[in-house]
Amino acid sequence: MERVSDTPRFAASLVVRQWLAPGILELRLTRPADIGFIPGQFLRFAMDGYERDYTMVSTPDAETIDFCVAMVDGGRFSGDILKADIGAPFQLTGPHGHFVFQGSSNPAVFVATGTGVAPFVAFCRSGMAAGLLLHGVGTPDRLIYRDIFESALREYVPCISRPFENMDNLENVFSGRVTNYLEQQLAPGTYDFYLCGRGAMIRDVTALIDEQFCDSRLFIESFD
Amino acid sequence: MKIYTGTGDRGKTSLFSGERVSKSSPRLQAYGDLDELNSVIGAVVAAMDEGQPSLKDEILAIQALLLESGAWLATTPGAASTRFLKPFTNAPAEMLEIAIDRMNAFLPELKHFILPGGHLSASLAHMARTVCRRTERHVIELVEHENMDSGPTETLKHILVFLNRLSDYLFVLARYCNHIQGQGEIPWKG
Repeated sequence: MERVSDTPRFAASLVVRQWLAPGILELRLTRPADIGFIPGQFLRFAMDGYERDYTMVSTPDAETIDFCVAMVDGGRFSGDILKADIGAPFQLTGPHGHFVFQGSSNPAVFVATGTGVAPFVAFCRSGMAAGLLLHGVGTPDRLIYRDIFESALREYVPCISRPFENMDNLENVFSGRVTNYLEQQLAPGTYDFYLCGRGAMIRDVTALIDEQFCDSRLFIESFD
Repeated sequence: MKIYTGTGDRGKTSLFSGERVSKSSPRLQAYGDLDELNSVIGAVVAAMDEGQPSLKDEILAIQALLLESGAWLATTPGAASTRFLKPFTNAPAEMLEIAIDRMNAFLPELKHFILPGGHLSASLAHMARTVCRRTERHVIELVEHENMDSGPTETLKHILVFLNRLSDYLFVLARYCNHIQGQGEIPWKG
């Protein structure tokens, strides 16, 4: 949270809308000239009567500001974004948030579920990603931004929670939840953990960190 | 945003700089006291009668400064997270000194000890003063516990001066609240 006065407003318009995976859209908006942010921060969409927060997956110097958005059945933003024409204007405030790469002598472990990978995409694209990423999804078709992670990260482990056939010959894939991986596979040590996802995952992983990796640091961005 | 996260159910919490620490640690004691102080100061404002808009604004500004102090106390010195924190200088303490002198000019010279009390707003200001003193003690304890070799950081030094001056401000504020309410002070009779 932050002071109310720290919220500059920007106008941007929709340039590209494309499907990254079933139910996950990538939005690209024109980049306001005077916007500045640190990879991992988010912008707030000020819609008609409601607001939504999304982390940029693009870098601060990119030509557009990009977001990945999970579509929600009956969701207001999902409906509005699907109806928006290319060129549609959006009002944004920000940047908000403190979920940024800290730099440390501790190895970094990034843990995300679903579209919680967004800040880690920005980390990777900004060259800050000398770490391990665990990306938890239900099915392999939800593994967005794989190419970026495979090329930029020290180690990338998709964690698939439902039974699946490895049609895509995924390497280094783990069958189970991110919590299972941390419990069973991560070597004892002191890490900088970065968690981004739903509250339940964050609660479970935090409990595990307190138990097994107790001198580690922990940085959290929760969806809910 | 959900209020409850469940990440603090086992007695630990995260500092702004990422470390997981016990909720009984000196750092938590210190910024927990700051939180309590800020709450009591909020009660002072709530108990003040209408008609003191500039004084209320001044106290709200002090509450904002307490939040900024709390953010510094929740961050390990030198951590990268400090980039998000507003610099804390000596200006707040100087602002308090000016405010103390301004209120004091309306008050009779103090020639005896007084009992904390009087109008509700004054009583709460006295309570805030005592919480402020405790906060200051706990910040000093934090500095000693963390064994900061070269003493507190510049920021912590400024926060300590601010807290020290704030307890003086709250004492004078308590007297001033009684004064503007026409409430006499209660002398200590031995």
